[in-house]
Order: sequence, then structure tokens, then C-alpha cells
Amino acid sequence: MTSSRSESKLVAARTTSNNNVKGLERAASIAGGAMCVTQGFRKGGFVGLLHLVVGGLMIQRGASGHCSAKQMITPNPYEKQVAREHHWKTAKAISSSITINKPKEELYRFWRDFTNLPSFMTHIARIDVFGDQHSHWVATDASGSSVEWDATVTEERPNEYIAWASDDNAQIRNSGWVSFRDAPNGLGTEVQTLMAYEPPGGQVGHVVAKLLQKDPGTLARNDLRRLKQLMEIGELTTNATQNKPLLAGGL
Amino acid sequence: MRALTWQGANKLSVETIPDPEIVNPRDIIVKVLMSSVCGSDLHLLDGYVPTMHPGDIIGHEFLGEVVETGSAVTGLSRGDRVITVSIVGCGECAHCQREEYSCCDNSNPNPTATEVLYGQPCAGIFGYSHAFGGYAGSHATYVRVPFADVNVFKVPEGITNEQAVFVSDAVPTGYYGADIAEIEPGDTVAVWGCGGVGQMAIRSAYLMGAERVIAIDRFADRLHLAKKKGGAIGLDYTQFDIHEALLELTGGRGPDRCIDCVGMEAHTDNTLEQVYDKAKQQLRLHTERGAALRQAIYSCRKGGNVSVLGVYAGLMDKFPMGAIVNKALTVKSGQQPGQRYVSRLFEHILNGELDPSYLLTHPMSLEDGPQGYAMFKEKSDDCLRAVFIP
Ligand SMILES: NC(=O)c1ccc[n+]([C@@H]2O[C@H](COP(=O)([O-])OP(=O)(O)OC[C@H]3O[C@@H](n4cnc5c(N)ncnc54)[C@H](O)[C@@H]3O)[C@@H](O)[C@H]2O)c1
Ligand SMILES: [Zn+2]
Ligand SMILES: [Zn+2]
Repeated sequence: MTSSRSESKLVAARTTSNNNVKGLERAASIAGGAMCVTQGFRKGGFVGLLHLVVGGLMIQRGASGHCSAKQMITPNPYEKQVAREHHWKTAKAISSSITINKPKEELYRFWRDFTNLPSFMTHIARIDVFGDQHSHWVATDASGSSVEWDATVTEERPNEYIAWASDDNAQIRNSGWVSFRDAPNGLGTEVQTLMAYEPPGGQVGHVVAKLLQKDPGTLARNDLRRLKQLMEIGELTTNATQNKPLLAGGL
Repeated sequence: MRALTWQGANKLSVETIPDPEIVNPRDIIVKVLMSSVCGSDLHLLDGYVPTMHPGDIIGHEFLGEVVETGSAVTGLSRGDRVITVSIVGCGECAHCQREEYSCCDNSNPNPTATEVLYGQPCAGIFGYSHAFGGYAGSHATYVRVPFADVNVFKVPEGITNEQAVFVSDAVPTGYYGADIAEIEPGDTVAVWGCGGVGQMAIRSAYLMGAERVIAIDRFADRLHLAKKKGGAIGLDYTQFDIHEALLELTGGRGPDRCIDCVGMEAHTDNTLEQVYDKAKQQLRLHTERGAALRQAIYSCRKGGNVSVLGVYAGLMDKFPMGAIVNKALTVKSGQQPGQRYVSRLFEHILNGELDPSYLLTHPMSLEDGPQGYAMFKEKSDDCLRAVFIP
């Protein structure tokens, strides 16, 4: 019913204009700045003054990066479109893409069996499948709080595309799709995914917010990286040196 | 087991920690027989590579004996004498299949840090910060090695431990640098830095057909070895104006290929440049001390190649882009994809064309690790590489 015409488009990429202080650099800025300031106080004199000035600048630079949080709240054009199509109040969409060195038939087959998805999706604890089209999803955060919903496959083209959406009674209304395209030069398959949901309020909203605490784009990319690891190397990469059961690799 | 751990900038200590175990099917456990220091560790020690945590085991250039193999490992068994390439490949991603192992997509379990820093996540490296995977390093009694079928190589009969240990890192790094410099017969190659990596780049340049290699450093012992073992012309940059000297030696053209084996902590006598770079580095503004690389780019002949083996972690100020464009230079770089070269390197060693064993100037007990690094850092007692024997 929905968005097959949106596949392979640039979907949820967000502008980060005026905000070129990112991630690690931001953390490093704040930490480095704090260190400079401390050193500045300790050293005194001209050198100390220099440290103070530079440190202050860095903290300011790092801290001002946080305004990106505000930017996240404003829906982009694609999100507006998804909200319209699903009759949601508003929508949040997270897209991601990765190239996997395997034929698309193999990747499609793995994904189409939804019971495989929890093996690489961080927050999906379990998916039960009923018949060919219906499934029940359980998402859990680290503290064990969970959100559940039923979903139905809304469109599929073998080896190319699968779309699904939550049923009307869902605690949190959401939808998603995945597309598989041959990558150029025999590099395998380009896998693109999109997950969209209607940001809920109240208690459920709280759990969802916790699920997506980290930058959701990073989460989605790392989910796809785990899929890539499972498909290409058959194991999840880890730096662990002790053989404790792993929750979900090292990502 | 015992392990040499990073505790903070320029603070190392030897600790007792649990032995590693097989975690994934393609893992092996190696009992370390020799584990070398490397210039890359100095960047960690000095605090220029972010995301080190107290307690992290460092070390990535090592030789050992297989003691345990995972269920999916074939071709390696208990008792095999092996070396492991310091940069981890998975063997299955498109990069690994093109022998670009150091660009592996899958070997870094913490991809986010390098993705944010560099735009794409980078391969994992043993003992080289959490940004590069957080893998426990090799200055330890045992080390867990993932994807053993790709990263581990049996050492052939006839090659000694002292020769083989450096095939883990210093030798393939120098060889890779000479390879990407695209040396042609008759070429003059200039190598900045005569540490282990530079020494191997010199030898490799000759193996690839260089007519003449000019080696640049300031330490007499290292320049002496570059001449005696490498067959290079040595230039002490504290005695000569390097650019003038290189022009004089090349009929005014400049060296055809330039290889940077120095990296982000280059030393220079140009006080202004040094003070400026160092102050910014200390203030954690993430700029490199790039004296050697700037000089290589400046001196390289028009249309020449600059190959950058020295490690840089962040941003460099005053990068001479103008010289690159207007002299039509090619700049190539990378962490070494040693898996591509190991068997060729063993051949060279067996044929007597290459003998890296002279890099090992200071065999030491692992317990003396902190002193070993202090000596290596200060380049005192003619220390080229200290190698720990756990
Ligand atoms: N690309 C890779 O895969 C790879 C692998 C190993 C090491 N490395 C890097 O290679 C570099 C060298 O490693 P190493 O083990 O030989 O280190 P090292 O510390 O033993 O040697 C570095 C040498 O550079 C010299 N030097 C400093 N400033 C100089 C200048 N301005 N001009 C000329 N020489 C100068 C020093 O005197 C020293 O002899 C490091 O940056 C290290 O991180 C890269
Ligand atoms: Zn190294
Ligand atoms: Zn790989």
C-alpha cells in the first residue's frame, strides 16, 4: 500500500548545517577543553592564560554541537510524506544503506524469514511469524522494558523488496522496508533499509526514546553491519577475550 | 597471564589478567614468544590516538606458537610457529577479497569512532585503541587472534624467530610503502625516518628496482644501519638542508619517489614550525607534527609519488596542497595489508635478499616492558626495536 516508489531514494538524510562539530570530535573538544582549563588554572601566567582561552573556546565549540538535538525534532520532507501516507500525526524515519558481498537472492531469503532479524537488530528481542504475511515483534531496551506489536507484510518483490507495517492496534505504529540491488563491479548487493514510526507519547514514548537513546542513524547502520558480518563471515566480530555469551557482538 | 598495559599517557605497567579464550569459531590462541615495540605505539603512549582506556594491552608485532584453535580453523594446529599480521582482515568482505586487507569492512567491532572521525569505519588493529577495535594486544603471555585463517601465517623452516617476528608489521609496512610508490628502474627513492619501518622501506625499494635510496634521520646508529644493511645514502637532517641535499644528489630534479616513515610526531629544527605544531597538538586541537611529510612533498620531483606510511590520526595544518597540485604529485598511503605480502616476504628471506633480524637490538623480558618503551622512545642505547619475550 505504501512506499515502494520511495525505495532507492535519498530518504532520511538530515542536514547538519552549522554544526560541523560532530560526535567524537565534540566529546574530544569538551574533554580537551576541560583539560586545558584545568591546566590553565594550574599553570598561571601567560601560558596559563592561553590554555584558559583555548580551553574555553573548545568547550563552547563542543557544547554548541548539542543543538543538533533540536534539529532532530523537525520532520524532514520524507517523514512528512510517510506520516501522510499512514495517517499518522507525525513520523520519524531512519534510513541506512550497506553493501554486502553476497548475492541478493541469499540476502533476501535471510531477511524474508523475519525470525532472523533479531540476530542483528539490537533492540528487537524476538519476532514470531504467523503464516506468510503476519508477525509479532517484541522490542526490549537494556532495562528489560518492552514494546510489542503485530505487523503485516504490505508489499514484496522476490529478491528485491519487502515492506511491512504494524497493524492498527499497535502500541507504537511503525513501518519499514528493505531493498536489495546489485552493487556495481561485482561488489555484491546494496541493501537499503528504512524504519519509520509515529513518535508516541506517555509511557510507551518513554521506552521508545530509551530504545533509540543513541543516535538512531548509528544504531541502524550498526544493525546493518551486524547483518553484513553474519552474511559475509558467519560470525559477529568481537574483541572479547572471554567466552561469555554475547548479547550482540561488539557494535 | 602477564600483560603490558597502557595506564595513561606515558604510563605503562605489567599486570596479571585472565588468559584469553576462544570466542568465535575462526579464533586461535597464540602463546607469544616475541612481541616487538613499534613506532605506532609511541603515538598511543604520547596520547595522540584517542580512545585508549587504562588497562588496555598494547603490542601488535608478534611471533608465537598456536596453543588452541576454534572449531572452524583448518590448516593451523597446536604447536605451529606463526606470525600474525597486525591489522586484522576478515577474508570475506569485498576489500579483503581484493587483498586490501587493511580496508577490511568487518574486523572492527567498534566501527562508530572511526566512522565519525574518518567518514568510514576502519579495520581493527591489535592493541591499538578502542577506535581501532579494542583488540587486546600482543605484549602478553597469550593473545586471541580472530579470523586466523586470514591473519596467521606459519613460519617456514629456515627462518629464525628474530627474522620472522618483524614480518608481522615492520617488513610488510616498508614493502607496502615501496610497492605503492610504484618504483621504476633507475628511480631515486628518498626515505624519511630510519626506524624499523624506514629500514624495511629502504631494502624493499631496492628489491623493487630502485637505483638508489637516500635515507634521512638524525640518529647516527640508525643512519649507519641504513647504509650498512640497507645500502642507502644517509643524510642527517640536523647537518644538511635536506631539500638542497636532495636536489644536489638528483641533478636538481628531486627524488622520484618519497616515502614517509616518520608519522605524526616528526621532529624538526625549524623552531617555529615545531612550536606551532606541538602547541596545537598538546592543546588537543588534533593537528599533526608534519615536518617530514611536508618536506617529502616539497622535495619530490614533478610528477613523482609520495607514499605515506607514517601514521597520522587527525588533521594537519599547513598541508602543502599547492605543491601536490602544481607538481602533479601522487600521494598514496594506508595501514599495511601484510596478508598480501607475507609469503613473498618469506621467500625474500629464504633467498637471502632480506634479513630483518638486525631490527632486534634489545631482547627483553616482558616484565621490563616499561623500560623497553622508555628506551625506544628516547632512542637511547642505539635501540632500534625492543622485543619482549614473555
Ligand atoms: N602504515 C602502517 O601500517 C604502519 C605500520 C607500522 C608503523 N607505522 C608508522 O611508521 C612510522 C615509523 O615507525 P617506526 O617503528 O619505524 O618508528 P621509530 O620511532 O622507530 O622511527 C621513526 C624515525 O623517524 C625519525 N624522524 C623523526 N622526525 C624526522 C624528520 N623530520 N625527518 C626524518 N626522520 C625523522 C626518528 O628519528 C626515528 O628514527 C610511525 O609513524 C608508525 O606509526 C605505520
Ligand atoms: Zn606497528
Ligand atoms: Zn574483510
